[in-house]
Amino acid sequence: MGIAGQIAIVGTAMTSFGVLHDMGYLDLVAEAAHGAITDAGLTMDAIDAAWLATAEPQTSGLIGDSGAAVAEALRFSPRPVTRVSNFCTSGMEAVRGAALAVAAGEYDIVLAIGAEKMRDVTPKGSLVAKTAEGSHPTLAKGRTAPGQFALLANRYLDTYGYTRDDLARVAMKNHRNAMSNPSAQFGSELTMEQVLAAPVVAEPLGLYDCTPTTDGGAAAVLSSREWAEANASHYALIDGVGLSVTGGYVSNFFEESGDYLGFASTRAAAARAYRQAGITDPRSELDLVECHDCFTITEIVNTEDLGLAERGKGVELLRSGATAHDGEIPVNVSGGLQACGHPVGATGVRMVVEIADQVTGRAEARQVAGATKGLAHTLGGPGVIACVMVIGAP
Amino acid sequence: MDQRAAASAFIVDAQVSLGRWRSKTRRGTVSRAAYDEDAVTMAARCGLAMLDRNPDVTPIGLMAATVSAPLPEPGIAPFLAEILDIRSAADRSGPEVSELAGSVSAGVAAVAEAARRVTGGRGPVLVLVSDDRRDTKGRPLGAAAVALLIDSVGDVGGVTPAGSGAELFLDRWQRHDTPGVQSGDRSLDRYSPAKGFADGLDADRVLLSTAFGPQIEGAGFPGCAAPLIGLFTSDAAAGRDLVVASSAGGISHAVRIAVGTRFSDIRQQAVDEISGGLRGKRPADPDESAFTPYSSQAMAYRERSQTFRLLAARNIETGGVVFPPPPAASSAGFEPYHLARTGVVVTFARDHVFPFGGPLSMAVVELDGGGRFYGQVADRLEVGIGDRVELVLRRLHEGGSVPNYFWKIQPATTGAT
Repeated sequence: MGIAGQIAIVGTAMTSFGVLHDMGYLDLVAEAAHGAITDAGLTMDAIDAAWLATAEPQTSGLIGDSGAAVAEALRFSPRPVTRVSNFCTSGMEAVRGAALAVAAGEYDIVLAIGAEKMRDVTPKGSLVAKTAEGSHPTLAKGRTAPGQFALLANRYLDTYGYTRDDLARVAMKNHRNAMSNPSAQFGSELTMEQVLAAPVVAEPLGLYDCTPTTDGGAAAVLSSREWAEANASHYALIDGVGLSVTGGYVSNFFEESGDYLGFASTRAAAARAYRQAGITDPRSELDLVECHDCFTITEIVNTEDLGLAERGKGVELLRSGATAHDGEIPVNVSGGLQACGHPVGATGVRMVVEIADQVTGRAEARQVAGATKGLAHTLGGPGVIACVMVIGAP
Repeated sequence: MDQRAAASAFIVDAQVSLGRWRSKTRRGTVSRAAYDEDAVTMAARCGLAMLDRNPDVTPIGLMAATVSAPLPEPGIAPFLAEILDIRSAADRSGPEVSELAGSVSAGVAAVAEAARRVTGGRGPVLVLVSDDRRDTKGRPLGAAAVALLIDSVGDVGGVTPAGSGAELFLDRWQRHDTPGVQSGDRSLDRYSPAKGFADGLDADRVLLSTAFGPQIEGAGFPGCAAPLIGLFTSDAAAGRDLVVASSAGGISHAVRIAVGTRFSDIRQQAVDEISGGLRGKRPADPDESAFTPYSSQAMAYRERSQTFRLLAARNIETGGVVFPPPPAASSAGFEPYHLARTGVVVTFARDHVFPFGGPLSMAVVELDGGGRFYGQVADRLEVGIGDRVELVLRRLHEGGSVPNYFWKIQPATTGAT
């Protein structure tokens, strides 16, 4: 059997996201995993296998570069643990891998964990150093994550005639949303003036156009639909999932087809997920979307690539208020990467947790009224990997 | 032997390329290298211009000369031969690539040696003379390269070796453990063999360089390149005969130039180059000590064609260009293709967090003829969407304790070609 409609999310949890100097990598794994298992009404003994997403173990002394971290953190021996890493889609890859194993009939109840301990080093010593110093000696040397998304921002603003103010609207919306999310890294409102006056990171992106560097963990317990129907007190179903990988880490920038106005990976992953979920008009059929707003420009092009707006019209969708919490298609009601923070391996799991909680009516202060179908989307590396998952109420 | 015998080697084309900056010093305005320029990159710039402008002349030899090679061993010639694709044939009968050093007179010696090779039927020969010369405190004395393409016919001028000499005389020297050149007691100069050498030459006009000069206003004294810049900025008329002599460190060389009809074109280019460049306060060199990028000699060897000659792959059916080229096992349906070094900016970003050389602009370029390039914009230059740009070789960093060269982007108007 496939995943679509057959795999249930029966337990969810996340740690606080932020600069957590009192928690180590294993603490993040343990808190998230125990939280999700408890939420499922289970004990550790019930879990058959685990998937661990950590993208950047070099920021935490290489703890988390294999499944051994789960055995250590959860006293999980001798059960199987698979560590996955697929850029910023790593978290959703853990969920997808766990779901595939249940769909294959190999296990009944599995755990997907995402954790990233990024702030044991300074932000500059974290991903900036990895890209600047660890990457190819010559090809694309000089790129950083904000620098590569600024390529998009400049091209997008130039092509469609929008301004930095429009980018700022994303940061303002998502920071406002995070005020209802006690687990978010940031929890206060931003003004347009604050966003525009922030220190420059990679022109035209300023500090508030960028996701921060974050510690955090999230976890979900997955089972078959049959098990959930018989045993779970609450559950959501994975209605469809798509993963698309479109190019190389470096060679992507040299591809003649790149228009720097969006991501083919997202469009391909969304097409598959929508087909599986039977969605033909995502803007009307989805109740909310969590998408990969690593930079403000990214959310704008994501909404286009996910089919919520035509190409070039993402800004108009944003300006109209349709993506606000009380809008027609709320985007990133959690606060998104912009305000929740972005512990890379945890982010995709956090999004799945958010959508599962929303469609089961358990999202508390930020509940989107009546939500029964939502979408989680992560985008990885220079935009060459995207994962899209449609999650619905049973 | 009749020193004024008709030449049998000729300058087909020549070009002067200076370091990007013009700096005022107590010796006047001198050319100065940007932090990412050196004897290799300056020579590459004018060498590539020679090959671009003269597609019908394929050099089978390279004579390099420098006293400021970034790596004294193996020098600049192996880099330049790779960049310019002047490399040995498998049957060992291929191009002769060699390098002269030791004295700033090596620049003139390289021209004389190239003329001998051409006369002996071992041409065409590309001469690349390049130096970034500084004093012991790192202050600029002049940074420039000169390229001369020499063959059995050519309109710039005839060239004939006109004499050489050796007599130990330490006027200026460089130690391997200290930067820059130092000099001793200038009162010793009246014993210099340079004057006697020049007096012994049978010529109407002798352009004599020593280890100290002459200074060329706007260029300074760029080492081995200085005597040749002196040649190409002189106002010699077609039909005149002049001798370029260089005597430094006790080694002296001279070549006779029978000025040709295209000499004045080269002179104009040299004068324009000297009056160009960036002026004002040159930014301090970025601190490389805190930047330790990954580098691998094995990878650099494996990827030398893509790195130095922008070797890409072109889809035989669609014409689509892929760079870097696909792995050999995935290359069915592709043919080798070299990226053009000119194109138009698709997009760009000015990055303030890259830890070395910033704020750093990066740009994506749609290249003429197909394919794209993504890389750094050369220091202190800006580009915008739709701008025409060119790729120039620069030193990216010193990862692995060797210079790591690659291409940077600059507005087409500031380039050599």
